[in-house]
Amino acid sequence: MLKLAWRNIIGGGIRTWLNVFILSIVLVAIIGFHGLYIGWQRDAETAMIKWHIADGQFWQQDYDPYDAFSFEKSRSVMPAGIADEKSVEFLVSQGVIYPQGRMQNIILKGIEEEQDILELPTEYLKYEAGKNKLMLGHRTAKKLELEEGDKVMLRWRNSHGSFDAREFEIVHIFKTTVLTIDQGMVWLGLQQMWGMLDRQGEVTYFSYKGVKPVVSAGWEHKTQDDLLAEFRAVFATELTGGIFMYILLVFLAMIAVFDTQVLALFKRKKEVGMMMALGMQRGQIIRIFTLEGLLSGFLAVGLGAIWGIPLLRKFEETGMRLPEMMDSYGMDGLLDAMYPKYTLGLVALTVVIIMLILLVVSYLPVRGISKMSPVEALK
Amino acid sequence: MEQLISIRNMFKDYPIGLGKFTALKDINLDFEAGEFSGIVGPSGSGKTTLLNIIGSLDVQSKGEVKVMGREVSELTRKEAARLRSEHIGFIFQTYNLLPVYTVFENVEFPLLLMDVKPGIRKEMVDKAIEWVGLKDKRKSRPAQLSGGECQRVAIARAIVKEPQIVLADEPTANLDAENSHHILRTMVELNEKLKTTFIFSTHDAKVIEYLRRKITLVDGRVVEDN
Repeated sequence: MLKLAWRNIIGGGIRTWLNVFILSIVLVAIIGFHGLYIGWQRDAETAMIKWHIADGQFWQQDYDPYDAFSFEKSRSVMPAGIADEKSVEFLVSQGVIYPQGRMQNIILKGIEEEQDILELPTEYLKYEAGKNKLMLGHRTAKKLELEEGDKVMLRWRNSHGSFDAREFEIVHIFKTTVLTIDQGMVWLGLQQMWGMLDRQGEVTYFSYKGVKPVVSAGWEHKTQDDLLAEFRAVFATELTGGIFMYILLVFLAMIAVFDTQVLALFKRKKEVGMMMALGMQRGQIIRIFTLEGLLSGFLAVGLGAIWGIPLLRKFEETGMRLPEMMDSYGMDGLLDAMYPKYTLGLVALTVVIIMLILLVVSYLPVRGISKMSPVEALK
Repeated sequence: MEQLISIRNMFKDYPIGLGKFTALKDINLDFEAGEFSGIVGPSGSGKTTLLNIIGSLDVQSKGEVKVMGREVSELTRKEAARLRSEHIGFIFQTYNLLPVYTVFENVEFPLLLMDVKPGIRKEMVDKAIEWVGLKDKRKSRPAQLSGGECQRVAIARAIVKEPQIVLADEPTANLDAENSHHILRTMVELNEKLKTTFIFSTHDAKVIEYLRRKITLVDGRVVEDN
């Protein structure tokens, strides 16, 4: 049966190869598009882990990053027994920044200056007596129209409830794909923050590296999954748009194969009649035509591999350049380019889906024609 | 002689609107092994219908049709297909070759349906191709052959499994005189060599002169059988 189906499909000439080519385009396009989403998610999560999360965090139990009023009460002394080189401490406070005389509410984040766990370039914030250093992400810098070397006034409220203000120099503007460490905040050295708030030794949360430390009560543990959950939820919404494209491409493939099958069967009606006359059974006829559809799928996988693998590999290396406006799209992981990732699972799943569709659209038209009487088919 | 086909009081009706058209009326015929016979008559006399029923491609409306001892109207689709596959070969007016297959592959087709082993299959196909004199064309495709050669491929395909019965529906209708005689001589030889029963449907005088038995149909009735 396989031999007959193979002969038919190869003998189909240009019709077969056109069909196979269209299928291979759909296959590569689906993998290509979906790979972008996988790459985006993977890059965004990796960046969030490298720049902020590390292996997990402990939050002071009252800390709520979305409630500025929680900042004042969510500070404690760092729990004992945690090695300094295994953790990075953060202190969060509310403040106001005055770029070019304008007033803007801002979150002040103090971070341990000497650390090598996170990729945040904290070395720029190294404490120097008498120097007020500040760094910020490029999005916030752009929004506030600030550049490296600029001086800017910060105002905050210390632990006694008094307002204080000082002029800070912007020592560095960093570029990151992680929005949660960029938008609406500025970064200061932890030692500087302690002095400003008069909260010596207190932190709001800390990231740790390695095994989860044993921490006393009053601290809430956040795993990587907890901290990525919000991004994943937003990403899932984005993915819905991607799935629409996926369905559209699959639908295109379906139409192409169904159309070819129907047309081919209409053209080959007499052939079916002859097969019946020679003793081919209904089941065999269904199998041979369905197999032809599946074989065209296998050929499409082969052809897709020949031109698709080098193309997707190249795409994986160069990535897809993003327009500057994507910076303000409000999603993590988007900066200059998106780098797709093609997993074996993605390829296998796409191939299986295409094959299943081929099975259905090859089977449906032939089912009808095989019900005809041989005399009808031979006419 | 062994009786292969027996037809008794057979009628074939086709519905037309609210009424019906009777294509075959009260047919009573017997065919024995090794016959070289033909159903002759003008167009629309019911020749092809009769051939189709004998070949289990169609069923009668009334009466009895036994082929190889099996009642055609009682066969399931699967059983009818098996009967055709194992015992009946068909030759059509328009050859009905598979255009994408070579001569060898077209002739091989019925054997693939019968699951004949590759070695034996090749031997049988080569033999059938040799019988019809197309040894040098075994790799050609139908588009590269003349009408006569195509019909010879169709004959080879019909006889490759050495069936008891070969049904040929107007086999020379698309051929010139020379090719028609060549085809007919081939079939006579095969009939003598293999003892295969050949039943033709034809109104071609060239075919009629080769027939050993002539059954004349007019308006669905057998009017002569000699």
